Amino acid sequence: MNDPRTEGVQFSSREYVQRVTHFVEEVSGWCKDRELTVERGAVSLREQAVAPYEAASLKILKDGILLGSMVPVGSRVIGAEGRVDLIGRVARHALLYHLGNGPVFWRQTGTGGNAASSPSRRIRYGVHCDGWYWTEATILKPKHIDKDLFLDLLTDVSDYEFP
Amino acid sequence: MNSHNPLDPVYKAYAVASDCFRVVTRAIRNPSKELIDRTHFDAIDPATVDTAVDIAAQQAADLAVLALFATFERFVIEHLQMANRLLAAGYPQQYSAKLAQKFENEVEYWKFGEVLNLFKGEVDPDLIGQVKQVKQYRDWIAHRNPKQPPAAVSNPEMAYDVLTRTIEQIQQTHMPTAEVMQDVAPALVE
Repeated sequence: MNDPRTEGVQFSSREYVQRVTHFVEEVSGWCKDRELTVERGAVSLREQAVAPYEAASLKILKDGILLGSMVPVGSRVIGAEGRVDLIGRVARHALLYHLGNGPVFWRQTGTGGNAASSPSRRIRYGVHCDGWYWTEATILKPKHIDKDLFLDLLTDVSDYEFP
Repeated sequence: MNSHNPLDPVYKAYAVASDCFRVVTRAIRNPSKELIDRTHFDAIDPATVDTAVDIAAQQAADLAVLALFATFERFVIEHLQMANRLLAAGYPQQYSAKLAQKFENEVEYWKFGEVLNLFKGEVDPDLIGQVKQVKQYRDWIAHRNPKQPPAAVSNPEMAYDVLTRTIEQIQQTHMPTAEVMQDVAPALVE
């Protein structure tokens, strides 16, 4: 039996740090395009069986007022390969890194002489490529985060309406 | 999404609670006496309101994960107890009846991780691994040790998603076929 801590999840804090750094750089560009200012920072993370490490964070401001923060949560996340939270005054959203190509698993059907296996896709519905996704709370379909979606989420967590 | 998902009432209650926190945060920006009269916010320092609401929101999220997993455990145990009928229909009859009774009495006390392993083969083993991680996170919430971080973090949305997909796979692959029901039915009638 596999240890549940390692079963089904690929852990790599180094990959996670690289992914977060790239995401923060991408978001910084989107924010600057909309005349928001950004402040880069770093957060120390402590996870089981991994040496403490730092990952990039970001504050997003408009005219000196904080609208939201991107805060890395960790590489060890259930059902994903890493998480960054977008936190504003009125809400927070979990942004998750998903892999587009998960392996196929074989599902057993029938028993005894009738036993047969059929392939089943492990790929998450809505996940078409590696990247950062936001999952809407009702439909639970991950949506790839692009500039428009990120700015919508920023409005949602801060109540700041873009002109 | 499953139309008969036993997790739905818990998840919907959490969603409503989350929106309540959002409404409070907005209302507190321009507090009126009428709004906050005879509430916790009447006496609290306005500068600490955001922190107080954040802490309450996190507690509500943790409790939602606890409740979601408790409901999921009940679903799985009840599903297993259905297997009692198949055991009771075995041969020889008296032995099978005793075996079925023993199974029904004791299945509630099995380690839940071992119960989940019964579903490997029909349910994606990766998904079962994620369910075990949700359980670990549930245990961490229940016995929180500030010196020890959780093995993997979750939130109600992810817990609901993982547990719902597992329920769907169990329901899809564990519905008895017509052949099985035909074999079992005579024994059930006796």
